Amino acid sequence: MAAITRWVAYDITASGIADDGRGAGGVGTRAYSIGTADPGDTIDIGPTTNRLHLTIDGDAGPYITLYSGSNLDPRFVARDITEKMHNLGKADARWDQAICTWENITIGGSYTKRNRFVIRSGTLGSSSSVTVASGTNDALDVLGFSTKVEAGGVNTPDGKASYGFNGTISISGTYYGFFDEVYKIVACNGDQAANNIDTPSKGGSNTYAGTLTTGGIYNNNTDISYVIEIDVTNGTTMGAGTGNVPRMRWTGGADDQTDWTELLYPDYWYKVGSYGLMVKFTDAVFNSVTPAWTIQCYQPDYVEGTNATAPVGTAQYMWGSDRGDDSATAVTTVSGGYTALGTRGLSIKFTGTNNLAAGDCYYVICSAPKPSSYNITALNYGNVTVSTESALKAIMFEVESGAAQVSTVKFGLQSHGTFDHHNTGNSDTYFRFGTVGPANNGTTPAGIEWYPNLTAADIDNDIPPVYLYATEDNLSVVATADDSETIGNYPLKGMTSDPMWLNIRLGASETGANSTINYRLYFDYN
Amino acid sequence: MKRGWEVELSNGVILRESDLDWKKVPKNQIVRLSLFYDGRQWDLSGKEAYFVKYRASVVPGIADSFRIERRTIGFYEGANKICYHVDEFTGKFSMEVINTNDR
Repeated sequence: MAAITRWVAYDITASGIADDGRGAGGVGTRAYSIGTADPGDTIDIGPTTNRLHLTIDGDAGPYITLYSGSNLDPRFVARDITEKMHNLGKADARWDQAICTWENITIGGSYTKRNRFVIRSGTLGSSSSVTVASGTNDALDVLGFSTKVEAGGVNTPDGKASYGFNGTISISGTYYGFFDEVYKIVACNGDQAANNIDTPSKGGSNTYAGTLTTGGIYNNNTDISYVIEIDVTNGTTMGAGTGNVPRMRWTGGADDQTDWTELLYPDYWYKVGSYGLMVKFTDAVFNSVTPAWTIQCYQPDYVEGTNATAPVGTAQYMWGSDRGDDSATAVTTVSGGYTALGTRGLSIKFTGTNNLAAGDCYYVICSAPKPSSYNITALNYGNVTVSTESALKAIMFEVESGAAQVSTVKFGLQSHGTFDHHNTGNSDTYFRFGTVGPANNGTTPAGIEWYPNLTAADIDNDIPPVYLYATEDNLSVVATADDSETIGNYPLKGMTSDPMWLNIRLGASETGANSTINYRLYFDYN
Repeated sequence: MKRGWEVELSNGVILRESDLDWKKVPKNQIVRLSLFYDGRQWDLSGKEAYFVKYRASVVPGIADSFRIERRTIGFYEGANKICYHVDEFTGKFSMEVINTNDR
């Protein structure tokens, strides 16, 4: 079966944006709308089902026209909705930081399969609201919003009845992430395993040979020991399609989930409970078993030593993101100064007049660099003068349908066209390449996924700068995947490749015009 | 069928690549998974879980340039994926063991 693919272009200057919830200082929670009808795990969108009528914080935006296609991957559709909300041109964080995700969101009642679309406002606090409405050619049915659960934001912290601290957070730095991401910041001290989410304990009869990884940050007013149960009645491995994959549920005291979540994809974050714990699994065979894993989560007790409250300057905090960018140990706040948030270039400052209290919770909402065009069919390097570098082009590859997993992505130069001085050793033409992204980070900052304003000098050497993962100063013409350049791939926001940057340096002896060159991308999928 | 996978279910039903998407195959009923290539045939049976995979390639932006490079059937042994690859252009067969914990 053919996988349907597309290419997405980005302006070199594009940059992510971090926001505090539309002036909320990171305080409170976001409103959401969850489509609770089961849309399956492939989405058909056409001319009569492609409009999403949304109101966010009371602002009825113009309807969004969704990407049309058959059997679209729901992760792809969720990112399409997110990018369309950002592209409305509102210049307002309620839209520009709004996010649609495909996730096993916690909902009251019994919902088998559980994976759903959820749309959240970019606003934190009680003015935050989301309404998915009916309208002409609406997408309610195809997206599962024919029945829905909607709730407004609140001014209280997630996981706790009230804030101890009377202040807010402010944000500094550039968000060097490539996809939307939400950071949750919790006032607490210690380290992750001892004081927040403990190392999972595997059940004795659990034969799963892969790796379970925990993520997120737990915040609640009590400890919970989650006991995860796995069922393989429908299938033993992920990536096999809805109705044919393993399922998960758990007990956790007042945070039980008695209905099943389908484990559709490997290496994909699934929420466990309502208080911040996430898990993901590598691709391996499951068996029906309980307990499959037991994961002990600890409420935040202290912010400094054995003190439940402490002033900014001695109080500590930990962070976790919905993409798994989590702190291992607590960070000490600095009075009047910024301290680290995540690994993608951000820092935060606490400003208030009393003490931070254990469990005080804040959010930073990050939006991705905006694509400049979709379904691109050509890259035009423009008029390039000999002995000079062309402008850089930034592109990303993705699969929109026909697959559940992508792996082993490679990119190569298939033809150098009519250029006569490529790898000939006489004032050559060079075909340059560089990449960094969610799958393959650079080194500084440690979690960097995108770097704005790259220049030709950044990719004209085989040793990458710290903000890129890999570079190739001159691609040779190749005919196989094995001879091509490795690019990371990422399963959380679709089936996407890491972004890549390309340009050419025209050799001094080149003559002629309008040479057409071909790249070819190789990928494994199932 | 000239090329592609074929599944035999426990109830005797035969499903083929030309008939439906692999995602729709009831994985817990598979008793045989076969790969065909121009008269050649590779069969897998008696395994705990099976998978199908492709290697494809595409020229950026040119949908018609999409082509299959390699077809794969395989099975799981815990965290290992045992892959039976057949090159689409040469018919050359190869095996590979991938430990998914190493990815």
